[in-house]
Amino acid sequence: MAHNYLQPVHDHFDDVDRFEDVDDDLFLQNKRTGAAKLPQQRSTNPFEMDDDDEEEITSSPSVAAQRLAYAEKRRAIEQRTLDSTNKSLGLLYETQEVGKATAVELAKQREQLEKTSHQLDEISSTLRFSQRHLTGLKSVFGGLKNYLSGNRDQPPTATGSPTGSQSSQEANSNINQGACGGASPSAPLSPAERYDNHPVSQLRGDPSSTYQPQRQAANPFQAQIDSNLEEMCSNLSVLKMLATDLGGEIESQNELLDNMNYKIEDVDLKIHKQNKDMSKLLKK
Amino acid sequence: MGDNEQKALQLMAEAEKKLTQQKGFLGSLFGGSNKVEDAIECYQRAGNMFKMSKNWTKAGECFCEAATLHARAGSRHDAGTCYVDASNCYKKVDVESAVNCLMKSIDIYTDMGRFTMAAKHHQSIAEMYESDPNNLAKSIQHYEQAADYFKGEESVSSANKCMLKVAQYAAQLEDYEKAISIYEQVAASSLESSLLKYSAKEYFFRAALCHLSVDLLNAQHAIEKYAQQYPAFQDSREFKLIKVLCENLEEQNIEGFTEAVKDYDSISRLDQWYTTILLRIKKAADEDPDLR
Repeated sequence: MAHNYLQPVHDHFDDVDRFEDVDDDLFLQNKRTGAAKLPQQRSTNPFEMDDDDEEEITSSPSVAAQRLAYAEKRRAIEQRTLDSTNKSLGLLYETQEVGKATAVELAKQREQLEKTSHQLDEISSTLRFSQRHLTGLKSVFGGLKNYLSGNRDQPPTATGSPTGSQSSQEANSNINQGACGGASPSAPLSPAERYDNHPVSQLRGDPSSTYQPQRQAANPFQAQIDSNLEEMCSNLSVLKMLATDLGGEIESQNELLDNMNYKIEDVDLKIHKQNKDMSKLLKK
Repeated sequence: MGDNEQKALQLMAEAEKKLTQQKGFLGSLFGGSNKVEDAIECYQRAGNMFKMSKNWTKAGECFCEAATLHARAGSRHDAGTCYVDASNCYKKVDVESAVNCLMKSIDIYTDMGRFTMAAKHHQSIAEMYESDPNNLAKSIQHYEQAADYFKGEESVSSANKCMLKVAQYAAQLEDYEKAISIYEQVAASSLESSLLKYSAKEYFFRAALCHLSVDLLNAQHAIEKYAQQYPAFQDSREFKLIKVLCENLEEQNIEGFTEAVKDYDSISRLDQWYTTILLRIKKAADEDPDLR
């Protein structure tokens, strides 16, 4: 089928009278229907309103209501998220308070354990002297034995454990070293610094490698959530350090308890022995 | 009258009878001390019977009698223990009698050199007094005495605990200078320990609020000093709150002050003490805006 490309061209503007005068507004309102519409690139953001959407809204009220509902839903979700982060933050602070109270109680417990250990040393020393008296009571030879071995015994002074403050300071320094590997525990790195200091980030060397948390300054909800999350992050790092310190303190107190256990066994044996000796003496 | 009370009264009569019995020559030689011991035992049993029938006053009297007899017999430690038992009974009905008994036991323990026990009893007296707002001054006095004894016995944690109570009640009684000095002292000692350093933040916050109750400029200087002493304090919400409060007070913005407190309270609840102090600060700012 041959196309006739050489048809005569009619000049449509020859006789203007053929066309009626059309009002400008009317002309603009009626788009050409015959023209093929080019596919436009649309934003995937469901909350972004372009020109077509505006037309749809003006044309159909149900779509407008839908858009409003979406916006409302978004606001509700944001509010819920914000409330959730606030609640989490509150719980973290409560946890920190519990941790602090536990730390105070553990410090008090350490003092009591050290004091008990010190008193056990004194008891042991006193028992050593009472043993000498019992040996002296047993016989003349016992008294002679005491006299000869007298210079080896020291008077019952508290020579046991070091003072509470010294040993607690030692424990504290140990805990500090253990928890932080010599680094200062009071200066935790922020997530951004941790990211920058990571070997992989340093190897890349390109400017895009630096961690930049996306901030939407325009959205106050987002800013608030970001600040809450940062606070939660720092809180968690404090909690981690607190937990490490508590763990270290409990370990050191376990050692103290082990030492006390040996001392108690020693004292127990001495008392049993002296009870036997006394009952023998009374039978005589 | 219950069965237990009847038995208790019989035991009391028996104890009195044993004490008033005429002793013969041989009796005084061999069984003199036994009579007193028997009387003590009767009084203690009577006290326990009265406790069972919830007659606290009579129970207290019985234990007091037992304590007096112990003291007469020369066993001071037992006397002290009996006075403590008596005070536990009196505590239920009459605080003053309970305090008197504890004071007697404190005298015995301090005389024996057992200061830790004495400190604990001072603490008990302070706790009895703190329930009554009119007796807060007495409570402070006993907490201070307890802290003093604890320090002497190298129980720093227990001493600090008592001192913090002193500071809390001193601030309530508007003796802010005393409260500030205690909070600063306890915070400084807490910073020396890796375990207690986490609590320093709270003590600095309390001290700063006390400063704010006295003078705005002092409070601003104080928080700068605390931030230097403990750098982690600068990143805390407490520090930020104090900063905001200072700014709002400077601008005489009471609404901003209230809003800042409300925001802080929405995340970590402020207890009664904080609320009282903050309300006082707000009230002072309302009444004397020129002084700010």
